[in-house]
Amino acid sequence: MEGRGIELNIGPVHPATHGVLKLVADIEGDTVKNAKVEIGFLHRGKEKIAELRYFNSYFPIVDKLDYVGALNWEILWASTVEKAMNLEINDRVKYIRAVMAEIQRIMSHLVYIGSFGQDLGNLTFFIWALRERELLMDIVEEISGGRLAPMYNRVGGVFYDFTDGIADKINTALSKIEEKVKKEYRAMTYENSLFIMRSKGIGIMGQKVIKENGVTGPNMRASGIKRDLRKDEPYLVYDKVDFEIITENDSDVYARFMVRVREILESIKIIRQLLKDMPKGDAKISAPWIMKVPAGYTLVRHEMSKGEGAMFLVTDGGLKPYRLKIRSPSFYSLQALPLVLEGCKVADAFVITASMDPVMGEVDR
Amino acid sequence: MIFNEIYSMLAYYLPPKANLIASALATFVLILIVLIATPIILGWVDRKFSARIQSRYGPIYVGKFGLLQNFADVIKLMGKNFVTNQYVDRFSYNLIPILSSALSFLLIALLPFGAPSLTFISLPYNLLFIYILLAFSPLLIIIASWGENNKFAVLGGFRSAAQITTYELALIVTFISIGIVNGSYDIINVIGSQSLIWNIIYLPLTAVVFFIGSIAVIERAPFDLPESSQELQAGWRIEYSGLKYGLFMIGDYVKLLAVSILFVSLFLGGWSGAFLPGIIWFWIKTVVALMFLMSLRWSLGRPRIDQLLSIGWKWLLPLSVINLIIVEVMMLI
Amino acid sequence: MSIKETIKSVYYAVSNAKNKPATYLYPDKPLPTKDHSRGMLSLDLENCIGCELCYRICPSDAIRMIKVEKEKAKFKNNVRSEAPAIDFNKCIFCGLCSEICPPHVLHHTHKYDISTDNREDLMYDPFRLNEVFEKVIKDNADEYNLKKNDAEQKLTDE
Repeated sequence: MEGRGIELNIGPVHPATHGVLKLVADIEGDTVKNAKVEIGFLHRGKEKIAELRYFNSYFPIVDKLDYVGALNWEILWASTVEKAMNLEINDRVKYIRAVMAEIQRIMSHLVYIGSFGQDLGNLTFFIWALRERELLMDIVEEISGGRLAPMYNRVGGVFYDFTDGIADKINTALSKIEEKVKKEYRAMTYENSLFIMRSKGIGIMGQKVIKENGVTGPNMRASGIKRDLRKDEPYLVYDKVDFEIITENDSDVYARFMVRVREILESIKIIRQLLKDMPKGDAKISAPWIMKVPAGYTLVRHEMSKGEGAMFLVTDGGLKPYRLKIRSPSFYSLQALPLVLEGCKVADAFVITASMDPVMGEVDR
Repeated sequence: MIFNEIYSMLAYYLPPKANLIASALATFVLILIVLIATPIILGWVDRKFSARIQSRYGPIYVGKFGLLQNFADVIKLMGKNFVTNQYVDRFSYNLIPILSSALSFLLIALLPFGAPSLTFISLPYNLLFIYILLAFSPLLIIIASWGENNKFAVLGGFRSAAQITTYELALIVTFISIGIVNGSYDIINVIGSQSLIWNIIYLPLTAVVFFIGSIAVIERAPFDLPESSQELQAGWRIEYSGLKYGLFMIGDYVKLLAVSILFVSLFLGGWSGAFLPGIIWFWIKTVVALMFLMSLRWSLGRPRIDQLLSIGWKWLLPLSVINLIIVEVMMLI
Repeated sequence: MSIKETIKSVYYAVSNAKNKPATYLYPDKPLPTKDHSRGMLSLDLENCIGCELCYRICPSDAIRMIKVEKEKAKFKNNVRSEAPAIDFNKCIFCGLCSEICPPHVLHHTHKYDISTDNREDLMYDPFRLNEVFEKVIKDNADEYNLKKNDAEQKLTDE
């Protein structure tokens, strides 16, 4: 029977989280027939700005790409310019950068699981997840001076060395988070019958969709594909640390949630090993402030908290870049979203969008 | 009845005719105070309790400890303009807030407030009348959502009516079981027959079915899907503004108090208990039941509408019927 | 067993109500800041040498160089007789100007609440920046000196 469907705008101004994303959905009855994703509301022209700034003063702009996990992008930009200049950094700097990257991964996943719980109606859980993130924010502020935009890395090193006693504070905060994830979050989310009812069996993203659209990161690992850039092409000091790649086999919304919860526990393990083995030494920056980079092409890929991020830098021997291209992982997750939303119920559309973890700062650049 | 109590208290001072008028006025003022105090006090408790669950302060600025916060909110609501769509059906749009809150006020007036003589209206068939008042809401919701002339309101209103209709079936079967065990449909007699053993020990299954069913009938979380603002556009109250919306909110809080008093009277023994006078036991139990009901909202998520209805039809209704059969068999033995 | 966990979640929620709240009562009480926190900037006017490096490196164009009379500013060594004026409407508090400054005269205070009613109040000329320096940094020279020594060790200029 042909009925006239409704066209629903799940518009750019959405209650809390996910930023400015617009979904235009064709609804018939209670199911979504097809959906279109519209992005670009937060476009700030970051790739063009890169042609107008010195290499060291582009850091504040890179901070604001993925505002939930900023240090990961700073480390990527610093690594790109160092590779273009053939600059070697010493071991202590590598360990410090790895610790900060893993701290940022935990913070980004905490925001994800908090906002996901809120989309299912559980407001308390959102505030609890942000309360745990505050413990790590305090540590980031103590080390670097800024909370959401740390501005900690420079080309050639980091700006402040670790202060005395920071290792103990990090360990205390991590133990608190681990205890909360294993007890309270388990009762509220991943073994809670209401949560399981709402999230198992919906939003299935098969391996074919993933391979055709270039989806990487936890979304990909929830479908059984075992790839992680930290293990396959190790950068910084990840080859000296012992950890595993987390995968799940169901590829539904529940699996994507579980991958990220277990990644928090893995990151805690990594940070503890790194803090124990950190070498003593100087964390000096070994590069000038405003530098000339030799001409050429450079590509560096790192594992961000949402997937595989890359920067492609073209330089011409001057003081500023010639062209910069940023590959952000959430952009590709959103391209796969309309294929996953076909045939789901309207109330599930919000849940599936939330489970893909889009951060519009890095989608729109 | 409270009227009789006040009449007999004032009979010492006033002649009969003036006594009638004076005690009628006093009863009226008393019920007005109860109805105004309920959303203010319950609203304050709700906000402070939810704030402490979430590790934050609640209202702290208006009055000491934020006690006057809901008072200020109600005054603010009263001062808002009634912004109305020009295509609404005026009669049903304006009638429903009054009717719906009047039903909840009537619900409170039927319940005992701590002692057999402290009811505003006393009827020999309390339980059945309460059930009728609770079960009347789907009709009002459908009229309201149709009158609002808004397709999202209609969708939300039909879902809400479906939810309440499903869960009130389980509720009537529960009331029948209580009537069989305690021998009457009057709440005061039910409490009286629990003076030795509370009903919850005889009928644990009935208590669970009643608890879940009553939360769904008053549309409180985790069953508040029709009014949630996460999914489809805020439900059937979307076109109401100002005091009309406030009346719905007051009705919600009053129904919450009514359901907890009902739970305490039917299953937890009402005012029976040792050492302390009955009225203090009654209010202690009511407060505990209220806090438990409130904490459910802040710790659980929401099921989807089709999962909600399938829980109601496939689990709760068969469970209550099985429960009725068990009760009948128990009575025969 | 998931029904048991559902009931446990209610228990965890209610038992959290006895803990102390984790929020701060701002604006009644000040927010805690750390040593390295980057707040409003201040300028030590006498020692500024007018090299214009802060103006060039600012990512958001918040600094302009302004000609200042030598006698009024009591410059010790300033050939061009210029000093920076910072527009806090545009400043993003990134800290690049205070790092690159060769004589270390730009310091970050810990002041974060500087909003006003109109935009012109937020454009600080060098004399106002100097006032902030006199009031805030000179009194607490010990805690700010730590940052100055660290910065001296780590920078190599070209």
